[in-house]
Amino acid sequence: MMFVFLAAAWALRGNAIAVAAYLVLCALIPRPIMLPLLAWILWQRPAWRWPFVGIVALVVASAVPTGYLGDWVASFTASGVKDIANDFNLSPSRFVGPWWLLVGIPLGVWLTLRGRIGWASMAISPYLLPYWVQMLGLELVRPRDERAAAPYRSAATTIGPERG
Amino acid sequence: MSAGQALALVRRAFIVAAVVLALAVNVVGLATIVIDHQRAFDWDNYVEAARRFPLGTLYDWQYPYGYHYAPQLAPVLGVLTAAGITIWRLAHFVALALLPSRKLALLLLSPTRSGSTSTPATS
Repeated sequence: MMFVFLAAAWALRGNAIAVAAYLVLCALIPRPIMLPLLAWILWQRPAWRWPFVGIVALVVASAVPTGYLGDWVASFTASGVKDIANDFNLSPSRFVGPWWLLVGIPLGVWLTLRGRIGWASMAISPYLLPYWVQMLGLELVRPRDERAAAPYRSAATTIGPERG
Repeated sequence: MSAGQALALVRRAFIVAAVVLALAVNVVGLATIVIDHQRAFDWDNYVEAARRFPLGTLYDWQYPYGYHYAPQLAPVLGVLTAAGITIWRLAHFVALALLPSRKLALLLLSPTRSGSTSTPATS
């Protein structure tokens, strides 16, 4: 998760290599917690939309010869159901089950639109493993292009010094 | 202090406090797992995934094993695990040093010390 967070933090800052790395990670190790930043990148940086389609196509095409593609896709839903019941699940879904998504998805979309990627990642995930909370650190990273950030998001929410 | 400044101060206090609190919870949770298991659950999963890849049982989850990544990544994880867990742990500190904010890196130092400690599948 540390490497995902590293790519995410720099991607949010606008680093092209990190954006590419993050998109590759989203395709290779997809987790619901990665969705808000993925959506934000594809929304705010349209130039990355087709490259992401290419990355996904490449990952799927290279998964076919392994014979595991079907099992992998099936594991997406199985994982969610299983991990909601995980003893370490910190999400409200631990108490209300998948019903949390009725609140979590709209909340995550709203937070993403407001530029609150860290909180959006927490909200939209059907389950929240303890080490995933690292993604909250994205709240402390300011996008390089301030126009891409939500209007009300001020420097007051950012800690520094920032490099790059 | 104007109303706008006060609002910004409150917002900042709220966000920083929430993030620090969340990370503190994370640290406590991770410490519990590390004490209980001694090493990263992810690591065990990587070793097991690489072993299972040629056997056709990559996605046959059995507690605590659970592999969710793309299948073509499993052989790569085999190379990684061959390098050893010390290299894996050191790589986390390198990643920490490469974060865009030093304060952020400091904030994440404790979770990182556990060496990408993950959480076991449903028990």
